[in-house]
Amino acid sequence: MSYAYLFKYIIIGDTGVGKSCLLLQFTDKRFQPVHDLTIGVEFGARMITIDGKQVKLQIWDTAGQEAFRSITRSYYRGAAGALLVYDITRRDTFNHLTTWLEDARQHSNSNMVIMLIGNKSDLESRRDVKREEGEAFAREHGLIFMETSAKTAANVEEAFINTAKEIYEKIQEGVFDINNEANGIKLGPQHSPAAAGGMAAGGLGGSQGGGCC
Amino acid sequence: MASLLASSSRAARDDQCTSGPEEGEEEEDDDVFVSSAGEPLSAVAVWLRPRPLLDRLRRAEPPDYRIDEFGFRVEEEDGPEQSSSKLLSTPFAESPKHRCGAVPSGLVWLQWIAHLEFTHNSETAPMSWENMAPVLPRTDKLRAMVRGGVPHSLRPQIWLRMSGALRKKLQADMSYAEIVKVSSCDSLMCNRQIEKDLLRTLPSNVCFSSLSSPGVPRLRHVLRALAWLYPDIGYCQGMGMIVANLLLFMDEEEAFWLTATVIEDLLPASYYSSTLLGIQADQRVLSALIATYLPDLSALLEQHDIELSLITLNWFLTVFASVLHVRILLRVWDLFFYHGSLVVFQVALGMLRMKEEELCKLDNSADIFNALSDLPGTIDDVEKLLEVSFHVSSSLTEVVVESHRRRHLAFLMNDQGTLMASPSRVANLPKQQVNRPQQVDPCERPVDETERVRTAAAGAVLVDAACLCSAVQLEPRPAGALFEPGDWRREAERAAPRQEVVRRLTLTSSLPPPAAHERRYVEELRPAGGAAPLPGPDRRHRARVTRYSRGRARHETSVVYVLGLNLSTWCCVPAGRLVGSLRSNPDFPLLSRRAWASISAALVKYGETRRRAQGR
Repeated sequence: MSYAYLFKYIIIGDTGVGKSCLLLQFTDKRFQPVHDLTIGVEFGARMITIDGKQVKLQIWDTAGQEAFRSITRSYYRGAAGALLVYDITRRDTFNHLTTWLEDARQHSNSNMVIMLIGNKSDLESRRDVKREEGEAFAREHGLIFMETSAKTAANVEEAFINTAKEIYEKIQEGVFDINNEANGIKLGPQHSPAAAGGMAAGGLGGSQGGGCC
Repeated sequence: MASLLASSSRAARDDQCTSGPEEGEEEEDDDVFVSSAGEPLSAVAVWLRPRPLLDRLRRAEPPDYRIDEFGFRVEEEDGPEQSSSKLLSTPFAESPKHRCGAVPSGLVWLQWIAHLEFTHNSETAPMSWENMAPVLPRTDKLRAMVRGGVPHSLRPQIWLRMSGALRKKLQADMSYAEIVKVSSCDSLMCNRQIEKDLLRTLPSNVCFSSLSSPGVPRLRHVLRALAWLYPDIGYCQGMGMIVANLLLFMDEEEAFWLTATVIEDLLPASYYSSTLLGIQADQRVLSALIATYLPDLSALLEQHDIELSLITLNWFLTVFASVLHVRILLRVWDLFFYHGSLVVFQVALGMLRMKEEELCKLDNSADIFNALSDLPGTIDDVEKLLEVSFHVSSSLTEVVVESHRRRHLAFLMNDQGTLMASPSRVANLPKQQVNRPQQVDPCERPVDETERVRTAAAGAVLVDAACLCSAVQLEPRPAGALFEPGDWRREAERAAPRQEVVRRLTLTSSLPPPAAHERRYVEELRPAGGAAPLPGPDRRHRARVTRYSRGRARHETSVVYVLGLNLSTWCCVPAGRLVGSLRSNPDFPLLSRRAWASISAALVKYGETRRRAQGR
């Protein structure tokens, strides 16, 4: 299926916070209470519509265990968006956010849009991290914030789509150079030959036009 | 002959039946299921079969999902793969008919028994697993038979004897039961993480799918025991995959020793440690081998800027357990337990070769990525896979892999050293308000930090050595060998200014001396939060301290060894002169005498190898 843009996302956060479940809920619209351990990286993809345009999200789901962080550097390369996930019922997963954020900022391009996600919002009775704390953290670090539940699907669509919208806006504002794939954005097949070939020299303005028409 | 066969066959079966801990009464079940090979769970050790499920099957009230011989739930939508004739054509576990050679594949079983009898050297003692030598002699005959596949019922015993696991078990200071005991009351370590992952390891297998499944407590014991035995590793996700798959066929003690053998002997060092340095190096080795053996694929990956290690890390970390169908996996493991890690490379190259043409037809990176990550699941013909694997990598040897490995390990340590040496570089973040956990979680031992520093220091030494060579004006070696002359110089330039070198050397000297390590070990053993000192060190504690310091020494030596080898590869000078130049340099006062001795020895050894190679 053809698309106007392709965005690369990564999902990061401690082990067991529900990264793979979020992905499954978003791509397959189902919840699997016991998910296989993610070792290395898994992939998912889904098409969404933003501003009347087809956008393909290519999502990389990564392993969360501490040891794997030394090798996650290459995950970040060329990602346009990141979902940074913690578990609202486990404070330690929230406490580790700063180190995840450091990793993300260090190894990715500076324009990457990061969405902070407090997952497992259906487990209100076991809540260990207040919503306000998540909001404060997001505000302080310039992230978008949302609480989701991969189980009930609450806010899952929104999390992925809002991130995409933000990326899309940045493209419109000319912040992202969409001719540079290192930014995690690709023009769709029907757009790219003209845009990449003919307008590369024209820079942002030109390629943006390519995406719009 | 016939009686020997009968007795050995009984021995093999008795052994399999009785070696499970909670055994005995289920023996009758064995007959029911073995005689109907191909039935659900028929290829799984009897003690691992969930009783309630067996009851339902016996009452002919099967659950609403299909279960295969290995206890995996088969989803009907998996159709194409599962119904593949190659995969399902023959039942996996042999029935008694096989064992008397009444069916063609039974001949293989007889052949194995005959081979075992042949190698069983005692004339008088009856042939049973107990009387058989713990290590099978490595012969051409055995190698050929392993290539053809080990009969399923013999696998546990053969694997233990091919890999050296049984010898390890017999020579160990501590028994498995003792280790389980100490590791279960050990409230530290990674037991909490293990607990979380127990149900996530093989969720689709009925032997591991719920807390009451028979596989789960066994998996818990083995993982805890391994974490206790290897404090530098603890628990690494991915290990569980190997253990769980082994537990399907052998009892937990055997699975434990076999996994220990995988960690210690079959795979190179640091595959599962907190740095994952060993497995990262192997990913780079794979990439180098692809460039040699599969140039088309290599070009494709390069053209689309695809980082293959994201996909293959998983293959290597679990020795394919997480990606191959178990029927294929077992045949690969037959070879792996005989040949070691070379097989992992051969099979990885073979799989890629089988799909190379298909992959090269794809024209966008997302499709290529997906095709690559789905690739192992599409393999359904193990004979073809092995044939292609050995064909494509026919010139690949342990030595080639090892020399690539050393080189990439050096680069990696180098990178990490560089990373570690300039923590100020990560500071472009807003000021952090969130507090790090105040209390050190006893489950997350601080060992990781030390390990990281140690590795970083090792990497730094390497870079510094390169700098130093430049400082003492050693000539770079001529072109055409393992390293291009420019390589080490580039590394040296990357390594930054001179004061940085000195700083890093200081870092090297901050490695904790063994005594501090042992002290910390004792600290660790102190009951959490309790001030009561431990009772005087008993045998077990002493054994562990010894193991700890031995491990440390091994680590140190390997670092030094890598350093020495790379120095000699980088520089075209006789060993003696190199060591002399380094020693006389005031920037290198911190390496111990033992370290110099090791470097020296490594260099001499390397020089000899090279001379031999050149002479030939």
